[in-house]
Amino acid sequence: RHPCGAPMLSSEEMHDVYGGDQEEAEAAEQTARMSPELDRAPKEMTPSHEATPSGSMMQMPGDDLGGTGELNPQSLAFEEISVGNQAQGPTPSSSTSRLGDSTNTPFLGGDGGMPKGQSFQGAGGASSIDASASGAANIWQLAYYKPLFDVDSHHILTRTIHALLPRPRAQFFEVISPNPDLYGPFWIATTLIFVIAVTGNLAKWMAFKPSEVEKKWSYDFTKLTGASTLVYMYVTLAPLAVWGVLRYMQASKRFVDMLCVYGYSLASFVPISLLCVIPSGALRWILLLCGCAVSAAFVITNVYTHLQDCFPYSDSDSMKRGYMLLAGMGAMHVLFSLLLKLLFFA
Amino acid sequence: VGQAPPAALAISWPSPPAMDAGIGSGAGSRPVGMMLESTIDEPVVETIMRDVRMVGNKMKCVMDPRKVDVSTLKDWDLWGPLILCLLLATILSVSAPPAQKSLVFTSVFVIVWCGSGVVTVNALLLGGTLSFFQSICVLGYCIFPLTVASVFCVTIGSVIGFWIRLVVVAFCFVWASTASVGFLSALVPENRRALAAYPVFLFYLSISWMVLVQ
Repeated sequence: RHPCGAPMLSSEEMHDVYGGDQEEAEAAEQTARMSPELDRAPKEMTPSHEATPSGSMMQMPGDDLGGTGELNPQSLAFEEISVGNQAQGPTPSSSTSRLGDSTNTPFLGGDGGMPKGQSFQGAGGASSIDASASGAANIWQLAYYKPLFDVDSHHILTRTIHALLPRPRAQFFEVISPNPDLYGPFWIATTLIFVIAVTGNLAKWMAFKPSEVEKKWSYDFTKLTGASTLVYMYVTLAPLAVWGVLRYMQASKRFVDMLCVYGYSLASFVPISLLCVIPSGALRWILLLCGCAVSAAFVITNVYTHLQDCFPYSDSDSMKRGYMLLAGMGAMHVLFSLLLKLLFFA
Repeated sequence: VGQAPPAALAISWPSPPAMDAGIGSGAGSRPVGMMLESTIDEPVVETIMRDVRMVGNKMKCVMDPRKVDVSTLKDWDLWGPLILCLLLATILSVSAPPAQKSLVFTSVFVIVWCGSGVVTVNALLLGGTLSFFQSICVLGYCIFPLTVASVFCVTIGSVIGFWIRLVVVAFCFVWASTASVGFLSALVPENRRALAAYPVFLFYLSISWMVLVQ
C-alpha cells in the first residue's frame, strides 16, 4: 500500500482491476514502483483528499469493475468504491492474507486508536465491522495483543542491530512492516530503566565522600522510580505526538510503527549508560552525545525517508512542515538525553 | 426427588481453587465437590498443616531444580510466593535508609508481583501454553534462593566483606533463574525461548541487585 493511503495492488491484480487497460495499468504500476511499499495497513483511515500523485491513478470508475468478471467479491470490497472517493481502492487480498488474523487488530489495521468508521473511508468501516463480526478479541483480551508479539529471537536481534547502526537511506519501517512488535520497545525500555538505576547509583557511590550530613552511602531507590517515569513516558508520548503530527500532515504511519521506532532507538542508550559508570565528567558528556546522536539519527532518518516517500515531488509547503517536525523530534531527543545525564549521571 | 442430602457430608474445598484454564490443574488431583470423607471435623491445626506441608513441598521442589516434579507445581498456590515476598520485602525494608523504608517495601512488592505478572503475560503473548497463575506461582517460589541470600546478607554478610556477599547473591541468582527458566522455556515455542527467558533473567537480576545493595 502506498504510504499515504492509496492501496497498492500487485501487477496481477492491477490487470484484473483495470480490465486489460494496458496503459492505465502500466502507469499505475509505475507510480506504485516509485514509492516502496512502506505501510502495510490496507484499512488505514487516511483522509481521501490527500494530494498523492498516485491517487488519481487509483481511482477506478465504476464501469471498469462491472466489466471484468474475474473479480472475487470476497477479496475486493465493492461498496467502498465510488467515483468521488479517490485513493481508496479495493482492499488487496494479498496484503491482508499476509497479515492473517492480525487484520482483526485495529493496531495493525491502521486504525491507530482513532474511532472506527467515522472517517471518509467506507473500507475502514467495513474492516472494523468485519473484525467484530468475525469474533475477534476485544481490547481487554490478551489475544488482541498477540499479533504484536509475533516475532522470533532473530527478528529482535536484527531490528536491534538496525537501530544501533543508522544509515542515511533508512529502511526500518520496511523491516518491521510485516510484523511490528511491541516486545522490543517494551523490554528495551525496561532494560534501560534497570541499567540507569543501577549505574546511576554506582556512579554516585564512586563519587561519594563521607561528610557531616551523610556518613555512609546508601542506595537511592528514587532513581528507579524516576528512571521508569522518564523512560516509559518518553517512549509512549513521543511516538504519540509524532504520529499525531504525521496524521495532520496527511503522511500517516501506524502507531505501532512509531512505537517500534522510538522503542528500538533507546537501544543505543543501554551500552552508553553502562559505560557512564566511569567517573569522568567529560567522558560521560561525550558518551551521552554519541548515544543521543545515534538514536536521534535513527529516528529522524526513518521519518525523513517516510516523508520523502509521501511527498516525492518535494511540495515545498509539506516538506517545510516535515522539516519542522524533524527538528521538533530532534529537540525532544536532545532534551531526553540531557535529562538522563543530569538526573542520573551528574 | 426431594430427598434431603446426607447431613454429615461436607464439601471440602482443596486449598488452591482450580481456576486456571488449560492444563489439567488441581481439579485433576483433588476432585472438587462432594468428597466421601468430611474434613470439617478435623482439628484446625490439621487444616493449617496441610497447607503448610504443601508450601513446604513446593519449596523443596524449587530447591532442587534438576528434579523438578511438574505435577507438584501444577497445583499452584499463591501462599508460598506471598510469604516469600513479604519476608524479602521486610528484610530489605528494615535495612534501608530511614527515609526510604516504605519506598523499598513497596518497590519489592511491586517488582515481585507486577514483575512476575509481566513476565508471564510476555510468555503468553509470545505463544506460550502456560497457565497464568501457575507461572506466577513458579516465579514466586523461585524467589526462595534470593530470600535466603537476603537473610544471609543481613545476618552474617554484614560482617563478611562485600565480595563474599556478591558471590552468594550471584549463586542464588543463577539458581533462581535456572529453576524458573527451565519451567518456562518448555512451554514456549522453540524459536522464541530466548525472548521468553530474557525477562526472567531481568526480573531476578533486579531482585538480586536489591538484595546485594541493601
